[in-house]
Amino acid sequence: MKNLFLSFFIILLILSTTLIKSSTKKLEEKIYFSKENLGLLKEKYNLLKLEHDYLTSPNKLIEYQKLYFDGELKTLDIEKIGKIYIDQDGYKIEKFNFSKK
Amino acid sequence: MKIKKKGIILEEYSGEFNFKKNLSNVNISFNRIAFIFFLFITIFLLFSAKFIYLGQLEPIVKKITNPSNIKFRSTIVDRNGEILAKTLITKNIGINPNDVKDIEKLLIKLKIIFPNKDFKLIKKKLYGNKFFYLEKNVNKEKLQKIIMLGEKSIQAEPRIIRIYPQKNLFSHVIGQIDDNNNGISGIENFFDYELKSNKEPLELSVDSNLQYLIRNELILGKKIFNYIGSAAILMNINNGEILSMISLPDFDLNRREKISEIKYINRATKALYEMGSVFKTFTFAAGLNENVIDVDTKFENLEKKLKCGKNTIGEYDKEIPQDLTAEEILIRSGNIGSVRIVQKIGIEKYKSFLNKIGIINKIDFDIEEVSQPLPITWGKCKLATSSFGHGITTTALQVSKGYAIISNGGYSINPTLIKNKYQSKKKKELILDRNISNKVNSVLRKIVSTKDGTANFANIAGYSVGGKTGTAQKTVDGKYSKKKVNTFVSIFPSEKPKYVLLVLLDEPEANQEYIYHYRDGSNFKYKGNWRNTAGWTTVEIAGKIIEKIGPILATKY
Repeated sequence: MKNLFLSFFIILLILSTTLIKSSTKKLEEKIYFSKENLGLLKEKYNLLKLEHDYLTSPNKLIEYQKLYFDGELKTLDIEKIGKIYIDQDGYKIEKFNFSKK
Repeated sequence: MKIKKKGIILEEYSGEFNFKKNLSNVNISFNRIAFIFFLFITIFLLFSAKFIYLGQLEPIVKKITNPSNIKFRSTIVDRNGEILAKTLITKNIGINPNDVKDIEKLLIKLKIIFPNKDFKLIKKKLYGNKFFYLEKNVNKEKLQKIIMLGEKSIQAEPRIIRIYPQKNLFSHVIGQIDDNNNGISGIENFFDYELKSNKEPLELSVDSNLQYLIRNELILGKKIFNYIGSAAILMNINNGEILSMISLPDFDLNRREKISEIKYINRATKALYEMGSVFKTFTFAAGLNENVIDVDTKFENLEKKLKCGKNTIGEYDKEIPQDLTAEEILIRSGNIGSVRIVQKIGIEKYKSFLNKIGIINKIDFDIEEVSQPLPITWGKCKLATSSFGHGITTTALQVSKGYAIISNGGYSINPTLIKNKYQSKKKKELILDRNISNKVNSVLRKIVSTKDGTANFANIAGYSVGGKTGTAQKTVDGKYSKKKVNTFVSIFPSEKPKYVLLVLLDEPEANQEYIYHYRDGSNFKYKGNWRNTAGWTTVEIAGKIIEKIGPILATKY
C-alpha cells in the first residue's frame, strides 16, 4: 500500500512537472516574443525620435519660418510676460519678474 | 646432501589451428584490403589538397562583419532629451558577380528598386568578377525589397554610422570619433568608455535652443564687427552646469573632416588669452576678501601714467578723475586704481585668490581641450599689470568660473557639461568671504546701468544685468599688436544672480555705420564710432543674446 502511494505520488510529481514545464515554456515564448516586439518598437521609436529631433531642431524651425512665413520672429519682452493663477474665485494674472524669481 | 634436480617438460600441442573455421565464408585476400585502403587514402589526399588550395585563395567576397561585433556607442542628449549624437547600424548592399546566375534578370530586378542608378556602370561591374557596393546606407524599406529578391549574390554588410542631427551646433562640445568608433575630441573622447559601456544616453547640461540662439547672434555679429572668431559660455553659477558653450568657427560633425587648423581651436576652453579689464573684478573682489579695501575706500591723487620697468601703464579713459573710490575704479575701469588696489593686497594673497577661484591653474573639465595658463614669474610689475588683466593668461571658461564663484556667495563650483553631475554634493564649500558677492554684484550692476559704466548696451529692461568689460591687445610674436580681444562677462539677475554669460570676440573691428539701440526701454539710438572696445562690440552682442535667451531662462529654468 505504501509503495502504491509512493509510486502514485512520484507519477503525480512527474505529471505536474511536465505540465508546469510546458506551461512555462509557453510563457517563456510569450515573454520572448513580447521582448522582441518591444525591441522593435523601441528601435522604431528611437528612429522616429531622431527624425523628430532633427525636424524640430531650432535650425530647421527657423528654416521653416523663413520658408512659410513672411514676418520675422520678434524678441519676447520679459516685462510683458505674466503668470496666471487659477483658483475657485477665478483667475489672477501677475506680472512676471525675472529679477525677483 | 641431496641435490634436487630441476627440469622442463615440453608437451607437443596436439590440437588443430582452425582459423579458417572461425571465419565466415567471405574470403578477402590481403591484396584486396590493401587496394581499398589505397583508394581511401587517395581520396583523402585529393580532398586535403583541395582544402589547402582553397585555404590559400584570397577571399573574393569581403568579410561580412557581424552586427553584434560592432562596438556600441551610446546616444548623447541635451538636458531636455533632444538627441545630439546617435549611432545607427545601417546596411551596405554589395554584389559578388561570381555568384550571379542571370545578370540580365538581376539588372531588371535592381532597376525596379533603384530606378535612379547608373545601370551601365553596374552592368560593367557585374561582368567583372570583383565584389562591389551597389548602395551604401540603405534604408529598411529598400533592404526588405532586396532581401525578398532572394538573390544569393547580394550581400548586406552592416555598417555603423554616427549621426549628429544638430550639425554644427555642438561641434566643439561633442567632438569627433574616428573610423574605429573611438572618440578623438570633446565629449566623445572624454567619455569614450562610458559611451561604449553604458546603454543609457549620456545627458549633457546644454540646451540646444539656447545654444542655437547664442550661436546665431555670434554669426550675425560677425557681419557687423568682422571678427575672426568668437566664443560664448552660459553657465548656472550655483552648480556650474553649462547651458551653452560655443566657439566659432565651428564645423559639421557629420562630415567627419580632419580638423587641425588653428582657426578651429576651441576659444571657450582651449585658447589662452590676456583678458584685460575683466580681471579688475578679481582684483576688486580680492581686495574685499582680504579686507584691504571696502567699496567706498578712497584712492586719491591717482597718476595718469605709471612707470614699471621699461613699460608705462596708462589709462584708456583720459577723462578719468584722479580721486576715486574702489567702487568707482571698477565702474570706470581704471588701470592705475586697480594697480593701487593690488599693491595693497600683495603678491602672495593675490596669487592665492586667483588660484582659489581657478584662474591660474589648469581647470578640471569634461573635455580634454583645456589649457594650462602660461606660467608667471611674479614680481612688482607682473603684479601691477595682472591687476588689469595684462601679462596674465587664462581661458574664457576659467574667467566664467571665477565670476560665478565671486557672484554666488563665494561657493566653490566646477564647470561641467554633464547634467546633475554635482547635485549629490549636499554641502557646498565656501571659499570666499560670504559678504563680498553682494558688494561685487551691485558694482557690476552699476557698470551696466550707470552712464559712467562701460556696458550700457546690455542694460535690458527686466533682467537686471551686471557685468564687466575687458579690452585686451593681442600679442603677436611676443609684442602687443593693434588686434584686440574684446570680452564681456555678465551676471544676471544681479540681485540674486543665477547665470553668468561670457562673450568673447577675437579681433573684432569697429563699425562706424552700425546703429546701436539702447535696450533699457528708452528706445535711444546711437550711430557707431571708431572705438574698438568691448563696450562698443561685445556688449552689443551680449545684449542681443540676453534679450533672446532671457525669456527661455526666465520661464523654463
